[in-house]
Amino acid sequence: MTCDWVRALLPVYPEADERNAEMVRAHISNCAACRAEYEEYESLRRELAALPEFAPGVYEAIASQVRERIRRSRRTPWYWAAVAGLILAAGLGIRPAEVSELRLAIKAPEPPAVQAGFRNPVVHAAPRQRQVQKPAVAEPMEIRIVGDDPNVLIVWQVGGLPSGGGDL
Amino acid sequence: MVTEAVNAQELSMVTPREDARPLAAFEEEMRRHQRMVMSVAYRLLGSIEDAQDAAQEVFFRMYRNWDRLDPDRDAGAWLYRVTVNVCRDMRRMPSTELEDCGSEDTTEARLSIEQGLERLAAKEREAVVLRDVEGLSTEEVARILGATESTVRSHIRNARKKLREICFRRRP
Repeated sequence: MTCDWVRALLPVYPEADERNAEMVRAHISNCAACRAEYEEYESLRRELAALPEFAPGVYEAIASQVRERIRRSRRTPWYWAAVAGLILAAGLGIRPAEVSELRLAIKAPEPPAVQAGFRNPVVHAAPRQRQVQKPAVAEPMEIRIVGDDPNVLIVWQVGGLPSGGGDL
Repeated sequence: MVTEAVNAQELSMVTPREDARPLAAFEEEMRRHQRMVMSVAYRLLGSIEDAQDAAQEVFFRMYRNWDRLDPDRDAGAWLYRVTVNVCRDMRRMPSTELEDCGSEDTTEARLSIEQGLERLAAKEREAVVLRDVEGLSTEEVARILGATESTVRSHIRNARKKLREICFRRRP
């Protein structure tokens, strides 16, 4: 068995069949150069398998981060409805200082209508009523934002996701 | 990132699922495979912080596919594949600062295994990590990487040869 043959075999020595492995062992016991090369491969294999000690809390930190991502990914429709309501309020110019009360009411709408209060009570003295036909949804809800001005009332009515929706 | 701890029971209370498999089982599966995912990710990415980010993404994907995973089969093979994919994606991201190997640095007697791995082709690195870090068989590595066994054998042989050349042939 020549050195070239053995050196070609050394990278795959762990997978070599018993006959080849035995020939390599016999060769490196008598050949210092091939033995040195074999030792280098063995050293690399040991290094690869040896992992650093991860900090004690690393696994719990991963688990916590995963749980948090799961929690965020599964926020229920009313959470996003509330966010949308607040964005709407901001869009209508209601500054935080003007909001004396913010109520989030979650309930089945009765009747299923949207009331809209506006900043100008003269123009909209009688709030418009409008029937809303909605598809079958789960857990419809209503969000009311009340400002300092008693004429200002924002009612944000939101249906839940259709049944089966919201899956990841 | 917010790291508020939420236990599995709280999760199931906040968002009741129609799962046949409870979240407690997911937690258990996650804990069982954390070390394996971290070791592969660490060897593929070369940094504990990146490995941690990868592990988080891997287990979140496991959660998203929880209903599709066969409870009667070990999730290990699936997790290996996802870990390799996540690490591939992270290496493509410009924001992931992978360590510069210092190609001109000849002051070290030899380069570290991390530096050596960094210089391998992606497929060689993945094959040798799964084989030599995790001790998987060539057949298992081939299945995880979606390659033939002869291709994997070739990747492993090349990877080991290159690692030796890189790590032991850079003497001052």
